[in-house]
Amino acid sequence: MDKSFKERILNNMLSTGADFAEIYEEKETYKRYTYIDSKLDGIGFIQSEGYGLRIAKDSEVYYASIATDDKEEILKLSNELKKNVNSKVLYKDIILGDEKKYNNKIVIKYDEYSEDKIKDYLKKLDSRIRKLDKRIVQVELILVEYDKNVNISNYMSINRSEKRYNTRMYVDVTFKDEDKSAKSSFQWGSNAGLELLDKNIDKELDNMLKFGLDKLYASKCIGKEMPVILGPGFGAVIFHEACGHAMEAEATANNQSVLAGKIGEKIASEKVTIIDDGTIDGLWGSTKIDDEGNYTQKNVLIEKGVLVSYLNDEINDRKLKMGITGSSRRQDYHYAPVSRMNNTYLLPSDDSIDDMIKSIDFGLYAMELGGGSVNPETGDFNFACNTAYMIRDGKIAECVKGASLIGNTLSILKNVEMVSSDLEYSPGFCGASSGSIPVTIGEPTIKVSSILVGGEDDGK
Amino acid sequence: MVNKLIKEAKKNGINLEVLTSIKNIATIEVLNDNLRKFYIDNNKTYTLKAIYNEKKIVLSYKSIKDIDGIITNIKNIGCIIDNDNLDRLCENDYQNNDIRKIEYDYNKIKKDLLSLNSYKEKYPDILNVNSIAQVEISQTIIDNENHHLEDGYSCVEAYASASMSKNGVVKTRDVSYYGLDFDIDVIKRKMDEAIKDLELEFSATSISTNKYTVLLTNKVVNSILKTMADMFLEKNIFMNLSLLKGKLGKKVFSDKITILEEPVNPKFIVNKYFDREGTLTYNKEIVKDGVFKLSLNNLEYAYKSNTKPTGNSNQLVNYHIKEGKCSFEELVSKLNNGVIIDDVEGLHAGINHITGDISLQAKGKMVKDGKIVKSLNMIILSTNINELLNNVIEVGSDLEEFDMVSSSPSLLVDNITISGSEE
Repeated sequence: MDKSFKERILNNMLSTGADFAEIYEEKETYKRYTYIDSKLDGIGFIQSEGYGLRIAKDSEVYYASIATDDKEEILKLSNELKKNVNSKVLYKDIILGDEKKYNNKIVIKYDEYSEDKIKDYLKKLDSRIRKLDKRIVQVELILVEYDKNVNISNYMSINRSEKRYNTRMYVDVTFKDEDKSAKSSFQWGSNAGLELLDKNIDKELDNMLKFGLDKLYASKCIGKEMPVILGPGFGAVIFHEACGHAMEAEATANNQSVLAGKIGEKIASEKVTIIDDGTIDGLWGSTKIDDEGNYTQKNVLIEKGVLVSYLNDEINDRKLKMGITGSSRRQDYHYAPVSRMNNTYLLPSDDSIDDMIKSIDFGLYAMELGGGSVNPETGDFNFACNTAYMIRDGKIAECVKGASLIGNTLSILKNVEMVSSDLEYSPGFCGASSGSIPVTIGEPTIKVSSILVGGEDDGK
Repeated sequence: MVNKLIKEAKKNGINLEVLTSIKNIATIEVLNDNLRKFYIDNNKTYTLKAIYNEKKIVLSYKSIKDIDGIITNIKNIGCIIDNDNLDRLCENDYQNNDIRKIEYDYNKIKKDLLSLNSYKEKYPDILNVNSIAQVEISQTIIDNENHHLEDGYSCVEAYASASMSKNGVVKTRDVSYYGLDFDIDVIKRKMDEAIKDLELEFSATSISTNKYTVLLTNKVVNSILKTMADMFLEKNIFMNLSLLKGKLGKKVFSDKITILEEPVNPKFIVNKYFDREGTLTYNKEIVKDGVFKLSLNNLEYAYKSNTKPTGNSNQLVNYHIKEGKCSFEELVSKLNNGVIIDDVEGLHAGINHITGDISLQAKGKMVKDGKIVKSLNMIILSTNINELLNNVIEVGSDLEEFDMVSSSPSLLVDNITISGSEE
């Protein structure tokens, strides 16, 4: 869409009194290699192009998306949108600035590797994994390439574009021994190109094999409240769920968060400093600009246990008046953006993992965590642990089957007792009202003094 | 444009089938007495299934103007992938001339949602009433060189939640709605019940970890069964990714359990007459009296398993446990002493599709002598799909449709572990 047509659309959308207007333009190519049963089973390919038009009056938002570049159709849609507002006209004659373009740093572009070369990589990885143990009955490898171009033009004359690459590898391995089965997985991803495939994964393969075999013969988990050690990296799902979502302005601005109105209050233990930072080069959740065209930034959310900031988008910040934080995100042009996380992590400290284990008579060591969910309004949250071991008398004991861990934001954040120095990041997807977006979560190993763990009665 | 693409593909040695999916979705969200969002999404997607070089290639485009680019892409992929040529294009024709069309009035829906704010006025402790209605009008067209299929549907899904605050503690309850048209009265009836539950929740406790007789409401059963539906897919069985591998023809669940898929039963809100590969759908028994009778196929896995395709390419429609004869009230009475689970969270992570293990955050109620005595929260439903469906004592008659994928009755189940924090 050319600049003058965008200006025409923006002015048209503002002509009935809207006090916000935005055009989001997106072109995306998505490619997915699926290698399963020792074969390249398919290469999925999606090419999409579309526009999202958004207007607002105060906090009311009207949004329409369309998958055509037909100017008449786009104009018609903007006419439909503006009918929803009937107010005094505040803005006129939007003149867009010159387009500013930003790109991910990328070493190996997708077209620099032939499909043969990628197939060869997957074939060798499949073969390497299957040789690890005869109880491996299935290996599924998925390589996903996202190549997205976005432009955001708005009523404040912003005209910014970004080319975003996101690459991710998934490894799912199924183990079977007679009627017992288990799955062990790992994945890595970055907003980089195919240099991702150069990563040394020796450690990940060792862990995958050990955890897979341990889980194959795992006992049932004991269910009760107990101290829990959460492993590094994806263990941060506890903070993503327990407080990250509750800090999003979509919830805090509307009194739909357990953390609404609590800025300046001590909500967590002194060990807890949480940061959301969309600017870190190479991380899966990083972008230069957010989906409202504002620059991403490093946002300290909790500092030594004190709540210091939320994640604010422009519309919701009209109520909060705290300043936008470059946190407005959306899956694609079908969704209007709202405040979301980028790369959220807990700052490391200096507690030793050995000391954490020794301090527990009976508890759980959750080595690998899965996804979770939260009700931001109540603070009740859950997350799954995929690989876990009981801790008995200060020592790591038997492997137990996966279980859900549940808690409430206001109590669990205060229960973080120990934090180690081994900060790791893990990529994942986060789903909410503006769709599924790439986010990173990160933490060092931590000890939480008490969480309810799902499982069997221990007879005590 | 679609026919031109198919013809050009044929000239290049490609047998092509194009699925055109047109969706018009309107979403209206209201918070208390304010409209929060009104979204319109007009979406057209072309999904191409190509047979080239004895391989199947699937691609998706928003525009098919660049015919040369599409053909080049198909050829490149077809030369590199390894899948066996076990697939084929559809050989059916179908035209649904009886699509139920509704003229949706978005202003009326908005006003109806705003009327839910009356709960806030009626109950001073209510903090927020949030509601969302989503109207979907969908059309699906499949074309290949010799065949044409066309179908469509429309429906409304809605959701409303109320939060209540007492002494700084906030609790929420939500209800869902699914129908051909929007009906605020149904939502209000459900909200009346939800608010009673909400008030009870402020005195809720956890329980001690133990085995209980459990009554799972239809909403909870639906959530679990929908999440586990992929265990019935032949593809997952074939790939060692289903716990039902090797179980066809064997008794896998309680003889109280019969599981059906009824995509063309007019008693359901939406019917779908063909799947995404153009296979005509039909009503079927997947599990009968606890015996696993039929795995669900697309064309490729029907060929691989030497069975007939079942019309389940990428979808299940109106999938459900066959309802029994006991009303919900009779189930509560039969429960006598135990736990009702009426809400579960964390389904995407709390269910292991390979092992069938289930560990879900839950809410519910404690029943003693057939009467509800208190509300429960901070509890975890800890079981396995095999255990759950083998321990069924009674199936409810309260079959409810939750969306076009699945419906469920409530289930009374014996000997299920609930984890809790009480000693």
